[in-house]
Amino acid sequence: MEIERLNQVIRGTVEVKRKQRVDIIVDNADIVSALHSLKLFGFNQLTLVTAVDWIEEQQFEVVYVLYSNAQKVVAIVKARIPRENPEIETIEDLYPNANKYEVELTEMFGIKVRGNPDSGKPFLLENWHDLPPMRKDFDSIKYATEHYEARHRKENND
Amino acid sequence: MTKEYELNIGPNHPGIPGNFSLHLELEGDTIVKANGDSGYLHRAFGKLMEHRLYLQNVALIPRICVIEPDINEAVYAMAIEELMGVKIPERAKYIRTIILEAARVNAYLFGLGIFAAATLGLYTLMQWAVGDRDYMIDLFASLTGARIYHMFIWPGGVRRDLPPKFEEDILDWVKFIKDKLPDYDAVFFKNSMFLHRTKGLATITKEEALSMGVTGPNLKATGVAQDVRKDEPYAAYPYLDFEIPTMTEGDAWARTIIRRLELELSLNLIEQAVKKMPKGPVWTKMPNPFKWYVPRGDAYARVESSGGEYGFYFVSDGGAKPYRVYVRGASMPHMYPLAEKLLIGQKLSDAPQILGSLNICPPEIDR
Amino acid sequence: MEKQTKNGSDLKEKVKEFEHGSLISPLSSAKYLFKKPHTLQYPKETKPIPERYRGFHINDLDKCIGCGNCMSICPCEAITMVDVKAFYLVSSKEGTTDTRPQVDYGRCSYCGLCVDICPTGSLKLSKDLIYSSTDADTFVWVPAVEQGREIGFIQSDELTPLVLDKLEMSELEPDVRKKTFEELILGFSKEEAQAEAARCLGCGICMQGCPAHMKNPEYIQAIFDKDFNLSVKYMLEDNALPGICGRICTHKCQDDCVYNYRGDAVQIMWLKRFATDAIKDYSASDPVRLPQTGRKVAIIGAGPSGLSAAYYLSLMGHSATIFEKNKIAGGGLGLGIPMYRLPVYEIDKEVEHIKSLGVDIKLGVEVGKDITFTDIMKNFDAVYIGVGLSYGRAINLKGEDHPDVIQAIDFLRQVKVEGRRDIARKVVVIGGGNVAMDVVRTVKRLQEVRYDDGNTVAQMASLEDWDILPASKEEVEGALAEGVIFNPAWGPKEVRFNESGKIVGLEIKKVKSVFDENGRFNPTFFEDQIKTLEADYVVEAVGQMTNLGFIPEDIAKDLKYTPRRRIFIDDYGETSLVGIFAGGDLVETSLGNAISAIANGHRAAIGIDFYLKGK
Repeated sequence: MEIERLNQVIRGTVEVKRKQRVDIIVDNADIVSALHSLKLFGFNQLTLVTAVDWIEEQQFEVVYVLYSNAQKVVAIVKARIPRENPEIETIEDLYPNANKYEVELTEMFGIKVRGNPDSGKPFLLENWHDLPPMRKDFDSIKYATEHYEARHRKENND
Repeated sequence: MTKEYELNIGPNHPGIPGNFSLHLELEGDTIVKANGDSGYLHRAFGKLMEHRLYLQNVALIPRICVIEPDINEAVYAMAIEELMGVKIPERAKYIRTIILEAARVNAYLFGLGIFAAATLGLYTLMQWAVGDRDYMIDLFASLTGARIYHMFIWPGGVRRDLPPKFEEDILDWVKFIKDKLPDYDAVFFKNSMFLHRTKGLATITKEEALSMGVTGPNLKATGVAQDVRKDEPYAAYPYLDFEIPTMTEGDAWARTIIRRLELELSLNLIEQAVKKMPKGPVWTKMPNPFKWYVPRGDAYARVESSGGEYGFYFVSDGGAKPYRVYVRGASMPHMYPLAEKLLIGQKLSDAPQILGSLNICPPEIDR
Repeated sequence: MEKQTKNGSDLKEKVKEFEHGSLISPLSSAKYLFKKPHTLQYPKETKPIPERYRGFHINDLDKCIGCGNCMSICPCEAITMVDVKAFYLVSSKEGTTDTRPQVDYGRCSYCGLCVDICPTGSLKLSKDLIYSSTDADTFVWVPAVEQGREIGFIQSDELTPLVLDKLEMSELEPDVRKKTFEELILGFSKEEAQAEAARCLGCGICMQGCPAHMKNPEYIQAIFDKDFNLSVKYMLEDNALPGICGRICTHKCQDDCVYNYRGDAVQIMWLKRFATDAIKDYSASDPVRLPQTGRKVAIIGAGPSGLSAAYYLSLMGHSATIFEKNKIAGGGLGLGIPMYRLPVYEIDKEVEHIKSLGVDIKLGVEVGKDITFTDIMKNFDAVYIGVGLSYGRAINLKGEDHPDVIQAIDFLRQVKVEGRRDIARKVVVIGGGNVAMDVVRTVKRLQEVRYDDGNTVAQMASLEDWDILPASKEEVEGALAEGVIFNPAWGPKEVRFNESGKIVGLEIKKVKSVFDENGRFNPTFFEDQIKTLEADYVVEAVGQMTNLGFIPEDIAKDLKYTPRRRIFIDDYGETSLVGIFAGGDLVETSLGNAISAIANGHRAAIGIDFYLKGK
């Protein structure tokens, strides 16, 4: 498979996980260049961008899922960034649909995206003043009890 | 003399397929800028899943999208099966295929019906389509016990074997819809009004579509035969004989006709699957739900939904609950940035057709 | 490739059809004006409701045991377990609770997971999903079996999230084990233990049945999580001798396990044994260590209850001294239980652990002989009596004063402690309980070792017939497999001797009934149905008794007894004498097994702690 050649163009670890799946682990600084190389390599579609909060390691893992429709391979690009002041570079120029995924990253995880003019604008949430909600330390039950009144039901004994 | 003004459509508007609103800037009746506004039904499924056991999530995930709930169950099950290295029985693969294809037909019937009625005022198709869909919903109820949220595909296979006579009933239904198709065509797909309103409207090129991550019928309408059922076959698709329909026009008309062709393809697939289905078990035993740990790792499971590629990026930390699930809805790139771009320069009166032809499902954006 | 182009051209043809519109063709829909409508005229016409329909719940309240697994699996928190005593007569059977599921239909998602998980099969869904009210509070009720509510979605035995079948425990083959005193149960491997622990639902119904109320769900979870130190810690919170209980417990927990209704109980006892075997010593697992208080407690008897009391007293910072008349610790465990069930090294391991906390065990010191009770009273702040039933009970059998007629407890002690290995060729054991089983299986082993010609007989005679035999099923099956002959429903009449005074047999008579109409033990016999079992040795295994003679008369006269002649104690194990506590088999709450003695000892330790703090 040509995918093995990826090792030569990407700074990071490339692992063929199974048929049609490649795992690529890169450093924060190499995300954009890695995605650039991957796009040239034929990964012409961006499927999604998201993050995983590894709170115990005090890291966010930013995940880009790419697809090459010629080779029919999904590449999962992962980069760990510190949880304190997390920041990444935008990839909007490479993949236009990255914009809203990146906006979502800022909104749901508090990861700032440099170069994305919409980063920080509200997308799915409105008047949100709490922790970014998809972080592991955001306690949704606590939030709900603080912001909404519980419904009191009268005793029903039938 | 033209006058610039702003207009807000939605979140409840017949020209908008679901709960989102559209902020338009217009010059006369020409759109100069379009901004989508989502968030009206954000339920944070990813977060909800993190708080539930693997089995409990089976009851939660179909609720992401009411039009086609079964894809959620399928990708959820597939992600867990991949991480646990579980192989599902052959019969379960076929049952899953039948369910997924029937759900796709239902989604197309519903989607096309709404499209015809809400954007073009052709209510006949909607009434027929929604009525005909209901017969399948009855069959779903006899198969799974519920009409809409089936909670039937679960990790390891499916929850029960087919009820007696089910094969017969579903083939009857397929034949019923097939017989109805010429009537659908006559009232809608071959209706001059539909043709005139959609031909040449909001054309996308192949390159644009690919660069924006567009998938499904919207991509097939530009001439790209990309379909997860073919490219990374799951369930029983490897055993079925089918071709992906494509067109080259890339306009609103082509996108709609592709759906019509896909509808027919799905009916054929159901027939094939029912006839080829082997006997045997339908479930690979899974652990006790209270002691169900999934090995640490991540997986991206994807299926072809009626809208395009639908997937779960699934992360497990080795514990009893999913560590992180990201729901990749097909409609996300179809709205942002595709629809926002396509609307620019179009007439306000065409906006509903454009949005309708993209078949945007807001719950896939909000989740 | 050819096919593809063919399909491709088919497709082009198809698409072409759509390229030309018509304004006339839509009018063809007018034909539907003359067709029958699809609409049903509800409620006159209704659709048939499918068999698997998932509607409101139906719960058979008599079958339901209130285990709460439906509540735990409910993804919507729609189910709460509520006390239904106010409107429903719940049976107070062991292994059940007074609660039944109450469903909030504002939350319920009708997923049916509660039905799939239900261990008794009492919960089903119905075909009914119609209910309307203007009062949202009425959408909550306790489902029951209701007239006219048809059954819909039910559970399946094949497609069930429960893991119904247990893992078979490997043991020595009968031919091998009857020749050896090696432990016959081989124990779980790590993988087996993991798999068995993975079956547990964690509902905790089993905790009720356990006299010590051990935290079974927690320690099984810890085994599943491979944290054996934590697992043993959970055990030690309620049981000072978990490794011993993991071998010889009567495991009431397993009788209560919810899996019994549809499959095999989780083998809680073997899991306990596995976890304790998996760690070398328990030093990392002591639940708590409080600072030394300087208070001294004397404990009489190093049986399970005494050891248990000593363990918890020393955790609470008191210094405990045990006086034991025998040369080994363990009491009934050390003396009475055969090695193939409980090896000596296992008792040593747990006794060593208790000693490592600073407990002083004085072996071979008999209170009343080597030290007086009055001295103990003087030198210690509190006294705990746990001497148990260490004397065999005679049945006044004619001829039982012959040296070849022996009490079970003496026999077992001789074999286990004194290393007795001689045995007669033909042995009859009187009794049908677990002790009798221990004796007869020990006899069998001794015979097999001593005589290799196979010309030996080990048989039993018990008053009880097969159906009411008090011995556990495993024991009876084990003994049968090893070749023991049973004579159930035969009572002993007299021992027969020959002219030289040697035993030749045991005469037995057929039992008419064991209990009278009030359920009291009162055997009656068919005096004319008599047979003689050939024997040259007889063991009586019909029960034990205690001897409190070491307590001086002036103190003993104030000791209160219960109607069943057990020492009266209060809820904290204190007797009618201030500062004197008792437990183990001496007290009413004992079920005559190790685990209830351990529970007694623990409770008395808490009582002693209260007493010392208040002193």
